[in-house]
Amino acid sequence: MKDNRLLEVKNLKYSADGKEIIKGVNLDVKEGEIHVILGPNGAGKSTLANLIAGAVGYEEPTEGEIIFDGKLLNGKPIYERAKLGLTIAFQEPARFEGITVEEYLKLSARNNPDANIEECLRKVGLEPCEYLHRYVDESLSGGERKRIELASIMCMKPKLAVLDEIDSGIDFVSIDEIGNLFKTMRDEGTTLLVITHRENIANIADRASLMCDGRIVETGNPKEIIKKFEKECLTCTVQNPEVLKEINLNK
Amino acid sequence: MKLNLDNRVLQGVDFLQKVGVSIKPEDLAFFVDKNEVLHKKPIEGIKSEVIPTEFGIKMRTVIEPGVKIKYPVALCFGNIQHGGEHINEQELIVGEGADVKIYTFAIIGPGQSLHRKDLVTVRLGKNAKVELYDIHYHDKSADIDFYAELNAYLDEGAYFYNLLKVTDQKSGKFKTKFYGEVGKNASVIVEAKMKATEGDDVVVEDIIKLVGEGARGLSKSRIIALDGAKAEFIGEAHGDAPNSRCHIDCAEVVKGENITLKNIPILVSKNETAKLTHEASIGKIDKKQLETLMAKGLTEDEATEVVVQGMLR
Repeated sequence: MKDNRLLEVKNLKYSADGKEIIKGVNLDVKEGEIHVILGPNGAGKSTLANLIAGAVGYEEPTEGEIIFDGKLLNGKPIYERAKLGLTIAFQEPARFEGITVEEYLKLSARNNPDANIEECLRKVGLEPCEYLHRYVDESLSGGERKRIELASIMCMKPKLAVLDEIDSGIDFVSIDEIGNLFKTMRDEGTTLLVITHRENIANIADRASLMCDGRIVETGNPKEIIKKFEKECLTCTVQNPEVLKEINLNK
Repeated sequence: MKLNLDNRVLQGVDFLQKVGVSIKPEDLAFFVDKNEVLHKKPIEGIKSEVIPTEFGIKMRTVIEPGVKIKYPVALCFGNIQHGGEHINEQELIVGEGADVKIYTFAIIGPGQSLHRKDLVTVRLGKNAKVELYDIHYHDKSADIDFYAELNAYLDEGAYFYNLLKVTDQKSGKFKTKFYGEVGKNASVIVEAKMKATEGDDVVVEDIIKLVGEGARGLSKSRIIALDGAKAEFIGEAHGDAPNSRCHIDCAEVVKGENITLKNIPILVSKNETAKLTHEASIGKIDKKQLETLMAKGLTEDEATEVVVQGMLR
């Protein structure tokens, strides 16, 4: 694994409606790694993902810097970041009337002439002959839609892909399947920043960071981060009432 | 075999090809320029009688029971050289168990000024199946006042699909009215895809009456309104029969300024077991859709175009 930093997030802060959501995040993502950000619901993971990708309304942080491949991203719109090689798979990717899977993947691959869209579909477990002609609309299940989003990222072959809870609701048979897929993407040249609240996803990472209450509290070996998450975050109810709600529901 | 076709037919085919319709002159079964019949090809199992009138044609077509036409039947009703007052009256009678797919192309050529009415009645026998695609090409230099009325009567077990598509160049002043009476276990799907540009005034009205037990209906419209356009949708579902089902779905999307839109779903039930539903929306293109495409490197304008073209397909 290379040691050079592809993404540097420095003292990042973001407030909305008078509430500070991101409270000084520092994070490095190295080229060629799978980096997982683990944290409870409400920790600010998706907001951080949106800020890194430059989603609409998140282009400019309140404070701090996002540097990608040596370039400052602050203020750049999402499509410019995509052209630089940074993309995001949203938690709930949109659906489109009248656009086929084939067309959708071709749009994703328009700056990657080497993309083989059929191969990308196969890699996410979808048979091209069954899916290429289908529409990317409500007729797809949530799991199918997320698999197609992963295929579209493979077609783009960006330098860095932010995957925001792409594992939630997906009907992968096992954690190994999604792990192998992420490893394939990494081995093909895409660095992954995976946002999740499922500790077992962190097992497949090269490095992991623990996020809590708008901050990265620790970065390091995934196994140690998982232990810390299980020991401290799942029982912490002071800063995150959502966790308390989850624990009560599980009880 | 080389066909000896009038230049207007070739011109009409050329217009259609320019707007993406994959058609060759030899595919055409019928071509009329207002009231001048330029081409008519016999088709086995279909009897057609055409009477030219002062302002257009009267056409009666009968598809014999059990006839199944394997390839689409393509008909062109044009205004290439002739504009002005124009009235087309058509009746299509489809026999029991017949199955046919029909494309009708309304072609309005450059510089035409016309006031046109298309009055169409379709009667489907028991278990008959008809797909009717009504595709319009209106040249942007034409001055258009168009009224398209389609009345469909479906016998038991029949299936009728209609797509009206006015998405290239301009719509003009365009009103379309669909009325469908749906019999026992019969199904009707009526779709309209319209693009209204500056100065266009589009009205889409669908009325579906479910008169037979287990009848099914769906009205789905997609209207894209650009700067300075007006558009209105009225969708009416009547659940008169037991266990009948109908859904009205209209999305009107705005892009630009000075746009006036109306969207009126009406559900009328006369039977407690009927189920009628609707979805109606007016608004800009969904932010999430734009963002998902922009994450792949498309600018906002490019993403908008992709979403719009998809909706109008």
